[in-house]
Amino acid sequence: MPSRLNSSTMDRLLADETILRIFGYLDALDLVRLQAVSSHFRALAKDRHLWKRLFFFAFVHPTLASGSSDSAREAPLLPTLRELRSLLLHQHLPIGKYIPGDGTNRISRIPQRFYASQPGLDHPARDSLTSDESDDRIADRHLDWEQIYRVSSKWQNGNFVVSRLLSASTSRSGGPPPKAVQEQARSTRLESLPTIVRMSSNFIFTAAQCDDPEVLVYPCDNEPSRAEHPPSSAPVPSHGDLHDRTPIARISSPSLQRLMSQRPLDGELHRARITEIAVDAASVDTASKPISSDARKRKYRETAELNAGSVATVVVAYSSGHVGIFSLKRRGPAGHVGTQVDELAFLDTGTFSPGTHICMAALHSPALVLCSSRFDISFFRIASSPTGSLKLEMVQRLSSFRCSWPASLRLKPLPYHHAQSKRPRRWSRSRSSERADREEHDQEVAFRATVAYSSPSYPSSWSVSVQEIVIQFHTRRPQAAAQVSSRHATARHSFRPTPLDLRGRSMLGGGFSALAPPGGAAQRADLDAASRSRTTTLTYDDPFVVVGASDNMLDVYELVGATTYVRQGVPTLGAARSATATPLSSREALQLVHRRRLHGHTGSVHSVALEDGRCVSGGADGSVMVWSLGDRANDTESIASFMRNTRATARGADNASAAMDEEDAEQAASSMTHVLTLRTPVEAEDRVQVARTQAQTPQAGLSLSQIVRSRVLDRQARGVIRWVATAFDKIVSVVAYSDASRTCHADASEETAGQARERIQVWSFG
Amino acid sequence: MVSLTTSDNEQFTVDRDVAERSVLIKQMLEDIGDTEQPIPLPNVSSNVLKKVLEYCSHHRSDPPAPADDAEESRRRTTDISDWDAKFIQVDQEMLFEIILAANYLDIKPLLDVGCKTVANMIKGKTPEEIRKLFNIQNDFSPEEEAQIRKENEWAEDR
Repeated sequence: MPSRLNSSTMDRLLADETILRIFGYLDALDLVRLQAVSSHFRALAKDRHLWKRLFFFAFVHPTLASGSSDSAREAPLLPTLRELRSLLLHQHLPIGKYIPGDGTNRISRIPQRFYASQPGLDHPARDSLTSDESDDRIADRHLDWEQIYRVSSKWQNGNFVVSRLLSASTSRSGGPPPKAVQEQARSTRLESLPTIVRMSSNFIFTAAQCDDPEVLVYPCDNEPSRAEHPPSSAPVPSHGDLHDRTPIARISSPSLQRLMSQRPLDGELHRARITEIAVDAASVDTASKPISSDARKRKYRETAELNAGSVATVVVAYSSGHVGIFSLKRRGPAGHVGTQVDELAFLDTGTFSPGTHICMAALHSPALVLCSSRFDISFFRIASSPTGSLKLEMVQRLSSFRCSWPASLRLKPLPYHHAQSKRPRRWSRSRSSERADREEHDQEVAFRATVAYSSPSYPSSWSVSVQEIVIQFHTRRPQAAAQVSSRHATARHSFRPTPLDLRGRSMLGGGFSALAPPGGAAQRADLDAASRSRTTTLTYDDPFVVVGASDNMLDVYELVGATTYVRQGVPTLGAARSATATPLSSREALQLVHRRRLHGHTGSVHSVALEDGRCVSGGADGSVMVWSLGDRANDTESIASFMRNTRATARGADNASAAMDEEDAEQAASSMTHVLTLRTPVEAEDRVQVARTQAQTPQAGLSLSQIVRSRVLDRQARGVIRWVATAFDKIVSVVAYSDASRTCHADASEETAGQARERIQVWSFG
Repeated sequence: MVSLTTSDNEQFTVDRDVAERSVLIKQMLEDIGDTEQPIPLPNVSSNVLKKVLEYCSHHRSDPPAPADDAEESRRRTTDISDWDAKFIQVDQEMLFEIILAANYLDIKPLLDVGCKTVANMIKGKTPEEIRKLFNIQNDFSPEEEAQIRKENEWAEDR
C-alpha cells in the first residue's frame, strides 16, 4: 500500500495531544522505549505530566493503581521524599485536578539537577497544549518527573553505580609541624573517629582523620564518570561499575594556617583536626531562586544575603575549638568549570573547655547549633556585620550533666502558627502591612533542635532519649532575648523476650520497673545481653529515631508529639505544653515509642542514616542495608492526629485513643521492612563485581544459608562499614578494609594501616 | 432522526440518540434546535463515519460518560470490552481515522477505545519494532541513539 507509506504514519496523522493520550496508557518501560523511536516521540514521551502520573501511581499512592499486574508486586515500597509525596497529594492528583506549578516551591532535599531547567527546549510540542502557560513562566525550573521516577525505580530495584572518592595525595602547604608537636599529637590524639562524610544536595564533603585539617569536596552528580565513558564505547553494566571521583575543591582554612604560623608551639592548634562538618540546610541555591512575592522575599532575604551567589555554605569545626564558615561558589558558565571556596568567617567559639571539642553541628542559616563532646549545646545566630563579614552571636547555651554517645542532632525551622487563623502559616505571609514594615528589618524565627542520644537505663541496659529544644529569636535584634523551651522523652526499655529473661516477663505485666527481684542467673544473663547490645549508633529524622546496636539489631522508635509549629505571640510553647502533660494527655507530651526491631545484619551495626522513612544501615558485616520505615506522619498529619487526640481525650474516651494508638503502632510496624542489601566489594581494587542480593522474603530477613555464607566471607578481607549517609539519590559509605593478619600488630601501625585502607564509596541511584 | 453529510458528500440518517453520542453533534443540535437540514461533517469520510455510527448505535443506551475528573482518578488500564475489541479490529489507517473522527466528533469512549488499542500495540515492543509498526523514520544519529540507549538502561534492567 503506497498510500500508507506517505500519509498515515501515526506521528504525522495524529495530533500530539492524541499521541500523549495514547502514551498515558503506557508504563515507564514503554515510554522509555518510545523515546528511542524518533525525536518527535522522544519529546512527547518525556512529557512531565505523563511521568508525574506514573510516579504518583507507582510510588506515592500505589494502592490506587487498579491494574491487575501491579497486585503481583509484593516488594515493599521505599518511601519517597515526604515533601514530594505531600506535594502530589496536595495537588489532588487522584481527583484529577492538579495545581500546575511544581517549580515554585523548592524541595530542599532534591538536588537541583532534578529540575528541568529549560522546559520550552525539551518540549517543543507542548507549548500549544499546555493551558498553564503561567506554569512555564514562573518555573524556568520544575521537577523533572522522569528523573525522579528513575531514581525511585532504581532504589526499588537495587540498580546502582558504585564510585569511589579518591582522596588524592595532599601535602600541607604550611610545611610539616615541628617534630615534637607531631609526637605529642600521636600520644594524645583524639579518639578514633571515622572519616567524616556529610552531604548536601550538590556536594559530598569528607574529612579524613589524617594530618591535614582539610575538607575535600566532591560533586554529587555523575557528570565526570559519564565523560569517562563516551557513548560510543561498549555499553557498560550499570551496576558493579566502579568509578573514581576526584575532589573538585578543598576547604582549608587560611585563618587556621595563619594562626598556626603565629603560634608555632601551640600543640593544641597543630593537632587540630576536623571534628564536624555541617552543611547549611537553608542555602540550597536560594540565590538563583526566582523571588516572586513580597512575602517570599522577606522569607529568603536573610539567607540570600548570607550566600549570595553561593551554592553551599559549610561550617567546619576544628578540635581546637575554632569554627570556620565557608561558602562554595561555582565559577564558569557551565557551572562545572571550577569551584571557589571562600572563608566567610573564622571564629574561636571560646565556649568550650580544652578537653572537649565540637562533635555535632547543625546549620540552618541564620541559626547554628553546636554540640560539644560534653553535651554542651550552644545556639548561635549568624549575622552579617556592616563591614560585610559574618559574625556569630551566642543566643543561648545549654549544658547538660548527662552525656552518652552516640547522639544525633537535627535542626529544623518551624513555621509560625498565627493565633487567629486556623491553619499554620509559613513565616510571616499573613501579617498586616504596618507590622511587616517594621519587621522588614527584624524577623522572629523559630527553630527546633532535636538531640537524640543513648541514655543508660538502669540497672543494666541502654535506652534512647530525645531532647527537643525550641528556640525563638530575632534575626536583627541581639538585645531581644531569645525564648527557649525544651522537652524531653525517654523510650521505655523495649521488651526483649528471651527464654531466660524472667525480668522481661515481669516487664510485660507491669511495664518497666527497676524493682525487679535482684540476683540470679537470669539477671546476669540479662546483664550479659545488655552489655553485648551496646548502642553503637543512632540517628534521628522526623519522626523516627533509629538505634543500631552491637547485637546486629536496629531498633526503630517513633517520636510522637514533636513540636511542628510555633504559635505567634504565645511565649513559651514547649514549657507550657510539657507542664500540662499528664498521663491522660499522653499525646500532648513528647513520647518515644518503640515501633519495631529490624533484623538482618550479621555483624554489629556501626552506622545508621535516615531520610524521610528510608533507613540505611551499615555494619561490621560489610553490607549496607536499606530499610523502608514507611511514610509516617508529616507535619500536617501530626497536627491532625494531635487534634484528633485532644478531641478524643476531651470526650473522655481514653480507651478509644489507646485503641487508636495500638492500631497506629501496628500499622507503623507493618510498613517497616527490609528492602535491599548492598554488599561492599571484597577487594577494593578496580572493576570488581558488586554482589547484589535482593531479599526475597522481606519479613523474614535473610535465610540461614545466606547468613552462613556471609559469615564465611567475613573471615576474608571484607570491609567494615564505619559510616553511612544517604541523600535523595545516593548512599555514601565509609568502608574500612582490615586484614585479619594485621590486627595483632602494634597500635600505631595498625592505625595507619587501617587509615590507608579506608575507602569512601558512593552508591548512586541517580 | 438526524442526517449527517460526510466529506465525500454521502448522507447518513440516524436516530437522534445515536447521533448524540457525539458531544459535538449534541451541542450543535442544542444550539440550532430541530432541523431537517443535514449536518455537515467535513472532516469525516463516509467509510469512517459508517464505522463510528456502528459504534454509536451499539452504545446508544450507555450511561453518559463520566466526567474527566473521575477518569483521572484511576490509573488508566488498557482493558477493552469484547465487543469494542472486535469492533476496533481494523487496519491501522482506519484505526487512526477512527481516532481522529472520535476526537473531532468528541466521542470520548470511542477515543479511549482507539487510544487503548494503539497503546496495546506499542506495549512490550522494542523501539525498532515500534518504528516498523507505525512506519516511523528513525531521525537519530548513531551517536544519539547510543546515548539514548545508555540513558534508558535503567528501565530495561529489572
